[in-house]
Amino acid sequence: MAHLLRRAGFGATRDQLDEYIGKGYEATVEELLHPEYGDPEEQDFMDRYFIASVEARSAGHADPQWSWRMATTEKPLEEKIALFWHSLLAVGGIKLDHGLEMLTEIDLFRRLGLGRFETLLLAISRNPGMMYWLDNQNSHKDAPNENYGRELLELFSMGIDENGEGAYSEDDVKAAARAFTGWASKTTPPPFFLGPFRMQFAFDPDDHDDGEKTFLGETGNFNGEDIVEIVSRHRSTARFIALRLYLNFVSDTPDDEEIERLADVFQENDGEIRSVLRAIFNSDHFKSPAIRFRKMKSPAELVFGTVTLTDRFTIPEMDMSTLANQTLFMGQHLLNPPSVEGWHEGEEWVDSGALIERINFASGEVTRGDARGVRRMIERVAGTGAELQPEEFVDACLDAMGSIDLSDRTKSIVISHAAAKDTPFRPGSAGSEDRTLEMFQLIVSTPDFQYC
Amino acid sequence: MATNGQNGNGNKAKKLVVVQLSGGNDYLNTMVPYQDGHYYDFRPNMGLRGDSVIPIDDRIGFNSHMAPFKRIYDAGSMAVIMGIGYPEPNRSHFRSMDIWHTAEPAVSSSEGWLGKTTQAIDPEGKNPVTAVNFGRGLPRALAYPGVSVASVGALDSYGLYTGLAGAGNKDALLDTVSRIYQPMSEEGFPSQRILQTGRGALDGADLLRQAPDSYTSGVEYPEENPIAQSLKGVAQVMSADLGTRLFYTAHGSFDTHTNELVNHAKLWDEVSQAVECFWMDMEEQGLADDTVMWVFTEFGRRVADNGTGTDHGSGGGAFLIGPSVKGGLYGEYPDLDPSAQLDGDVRYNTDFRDMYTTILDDFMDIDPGQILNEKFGKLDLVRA
Amino acid sequence: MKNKNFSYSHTIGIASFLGRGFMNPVDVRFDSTGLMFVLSRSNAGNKNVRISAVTLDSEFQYEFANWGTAPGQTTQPTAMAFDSEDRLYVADESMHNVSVFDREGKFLNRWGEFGVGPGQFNRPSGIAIDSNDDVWVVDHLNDRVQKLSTDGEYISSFGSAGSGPGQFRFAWGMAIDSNDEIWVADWRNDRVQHFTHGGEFISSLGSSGDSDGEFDRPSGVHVSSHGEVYVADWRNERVQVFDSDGGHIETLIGDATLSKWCQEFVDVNPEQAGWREKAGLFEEEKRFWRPSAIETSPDGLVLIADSCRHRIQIYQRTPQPALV
Repeated sequence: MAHLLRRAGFGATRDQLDEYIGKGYEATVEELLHPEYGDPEEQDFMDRYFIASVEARSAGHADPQWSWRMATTEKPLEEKIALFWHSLLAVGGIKLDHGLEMLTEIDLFRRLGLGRFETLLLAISRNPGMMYWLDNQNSHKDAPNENYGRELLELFSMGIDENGEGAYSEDDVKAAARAFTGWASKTTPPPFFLGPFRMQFAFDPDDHDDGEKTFLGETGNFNGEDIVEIVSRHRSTARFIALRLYLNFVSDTPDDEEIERLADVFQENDGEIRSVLRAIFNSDHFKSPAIRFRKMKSPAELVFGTVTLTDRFTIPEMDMSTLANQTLFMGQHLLNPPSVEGWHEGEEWVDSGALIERINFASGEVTRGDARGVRRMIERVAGTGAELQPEEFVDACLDAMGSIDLSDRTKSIVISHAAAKDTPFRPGSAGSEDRTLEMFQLIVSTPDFQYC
Repeated sequence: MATNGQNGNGNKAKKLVVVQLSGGNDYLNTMVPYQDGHYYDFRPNMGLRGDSVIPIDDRIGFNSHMAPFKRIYDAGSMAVIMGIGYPEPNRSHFRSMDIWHTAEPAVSSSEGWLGKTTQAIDPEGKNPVTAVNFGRGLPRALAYPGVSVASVGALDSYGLYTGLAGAGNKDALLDTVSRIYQPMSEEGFPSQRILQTGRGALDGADLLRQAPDSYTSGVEYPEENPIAQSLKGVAQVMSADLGTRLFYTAHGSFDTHTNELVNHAKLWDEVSQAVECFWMDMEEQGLADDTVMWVFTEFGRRVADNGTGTDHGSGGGAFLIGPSVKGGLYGEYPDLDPSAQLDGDVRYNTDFRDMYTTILDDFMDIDPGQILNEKFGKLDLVRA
Repeated sequence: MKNKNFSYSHTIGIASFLGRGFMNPVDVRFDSTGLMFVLSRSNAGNKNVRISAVTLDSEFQYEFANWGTAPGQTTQPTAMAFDSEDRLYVADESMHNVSVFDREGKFLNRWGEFGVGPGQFNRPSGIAIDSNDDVWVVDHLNDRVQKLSTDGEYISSFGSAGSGPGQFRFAWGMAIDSNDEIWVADWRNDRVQHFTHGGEFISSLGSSGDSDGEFDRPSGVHVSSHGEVYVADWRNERVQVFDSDGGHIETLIGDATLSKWCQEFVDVNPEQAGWREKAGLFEEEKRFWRPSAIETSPDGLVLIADSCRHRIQIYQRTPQPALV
């Protein structure tokens, strides 16, 4: 169960886990897969305390909004799937430079991210931010710009193999580009004197190439909708989306057999993402020990996973706004992926600077003795027994931190650290709370904690 | 480990110190065209006159808050690059800064020119401090897959657990963490890669934190001046001889939409004092000849002022500084005649990638072809 | 929509991180000389917090109470009020205190700290001053209104958590009318409550919704010297005006024209002016975006802090209602 929540969400506290266990695994999967769309009531707090994020002019002004949602959500998969699509259908805040539009996209991912892929792909193709980001602004009937057509095929749907080959030709790219001519965002007033205005999509039939096109072997007077429809039912799209979901939710190392199975599920269910995720979460493959704790946490998973554990934000206090900076320091600037390819994920997340940031952030969080979640963790460790031998003490801490594991090698070193002090550990004795906090700090400093 | 960055080519392989002026420096009020009527026509409120200008020649003068720059210029160690820019100027801070960082005006790239340079210097990533950034979060200029860069807030507090309470147990904790991050066999978990990364992080942190210990200097950097403190950190790391070749610092915000006369002056007081301190220190440390400094900004400001400041424009100017630099004015001062302007902005005449090529080839001894995707020209800036 | 009882006068402001201009203005007050003070809230991380003194013809005078935690600085200011001697009291909900300045912006004093006890605060938000120069503060996470002396000594308090009469859920702005009666914008309860000077509940105005007389998170309340009640109906993007008995008089949705400062920006930035022209969102430009506070003058000027458009929209109440 803890594994499910780490992958489908940002982990869970031990108390939350008990609640989910009471519901049962498959019932929990269904609950996660069916978040009721809509702002939580606490959205009003965010708007009140961070008024500049309501009219977010830049990505930097917008990110407290998303941080608050990720730190406090009761619908973890809704945020996790938004994060997934944000790195796959990536729009960079720097070029777009419109925080409000970035938030609109994240909300689009919340709303459509678990539904049919075709619906989502069409919505993002009509998203004014995306049109601007990939230069469809400059794609005209008499001079199509191929950027969107190409990235739609290469990065958003069909994908390419290691040799850079896709199941489509250059002619298909050109046909797609022609089909998307006339799709653009309206001119937006600059934000510099009155703040930003919402971006709007516009289709200009006069600038649309309505002529006959041949695309992936089919011929017709295709518009963008047709391209999205044709692409979405192509086998290579099923395989590509299955691969990306696998890499995001299961493992940094692809398993071809499993990906083929998931591609089948995708096609059998009309491209519904929810069905693919259900097939993932309920599989023995997903639940197997070889999969657990082997996927590198992204900076967002590290930061919001830790904050979920320490549960310290009842209201969006001022330092809410620093959480997004933390992911930035660790190499993931939320709302601003470095390019249309999103981020380089997996082990590439962690360089030496990022590792120092990760350890310092997480150990700072878990040693906040006044945070609600940390208090509960201390109580849980103390409730384990009157006397704890070093290994029992380490196990109690790992369990209190949301049932996490360490590799044997790391664990033996951590136990030796615990054994270097007075043993057994006696909850309630002088200094016991500081020792518990120190153990939390050590655990989040391990390489093992960087994985989920 | 390389010593003082010397390689087979001897004194060509210099250390580069970057000073980024964040926010868009108003070039017209930095290097002031104090004899140009157009300047005063377009700057009825923000035009600098009389004592506010330190003339260099009969056309151009430094802003009076740049007296230390003028002294360096007079010593012949400062190249002023006028009219620097790139085609189709972008007026978004972020995008334009990205362009300077990635040297890619046309497409959005995630690979920084100095990240690539770091990789070219140390292809196997043997030295965790080949590049050191002063500030948190990596500027895109230093980003490149597989390249580790130390990002340092303050040297003496750099490393693990530095900002935390409960430091009583810090030594024992660090000792345990150090035992955990010992690379083991190729197979197994945690991966070799993350253990090595951890090892590099801990070693790099030790190196950098200890750098100030061996440093003494008669130069007093102003305490309340953040860029001076960053450059002092640069001098400390440089004097510790850790093999660092790239140093990155930034100062701002130069985004002077309002109250420019006050704010711009303060910023240049800070930058020019800091830079002068740094070069005095370099002389004292005997490192001046091995070092070159690159000062740039993402864009300049509009030719016309807006009443109390200036808005985003183009052509922010740049400086290359050091005793190995052949000082002087380079490029053309932009023509402010309305017919010569580009939608209210100056036109560029020197591509910034010419400067990158010059820095890499003539000062860093790195093949620019490894770093830049196209071939660019060079400026003749090496002092004979 | 045409305004019946108000004529639009002009707008002051431009989005600006410092100096001339505002950044998310959340409150606006006149001092006794008619100089306008605007409180810019900004975001925590952006640090463009300040109070700006500006004349009604857009002459920027000076600013103070900039970002920081030192005396004379603010971090998350929410509201401000002048006493009879033109001292300005500013509530800060992250430092849990009230800072006092003179009208030139010179820092005088500050008081208050985090806590639940008398004279302590948990996120002070609204602030108002009565005819006796006592200071009233909405202590919003403690679900109460506290009455304090000008140097922060506790006098009394009323209120508790809940939705019943005299109870609050995350109250925000407040006002004191010319009879020294108390009005509180009971934000999460979508209503405005009216109390006697002693804190006894008199009546409640509004309920959840978007029709006349209904609110969606009312942030500010103000009572003019003529007894008319103005409510910043924050998430409905409008200001509603009521008579003293709670009868709905009119709803304002914003009529802004380009301010003098915006016009100057447009004049020197032809490229951006072109985008604006091409976008053509001139109706949308006029409208309020999270109006959060209101101020009036005795001669009928109405100032509305239009938070997300970085400006103050100014109306003239017309015709003048008879003094009550």
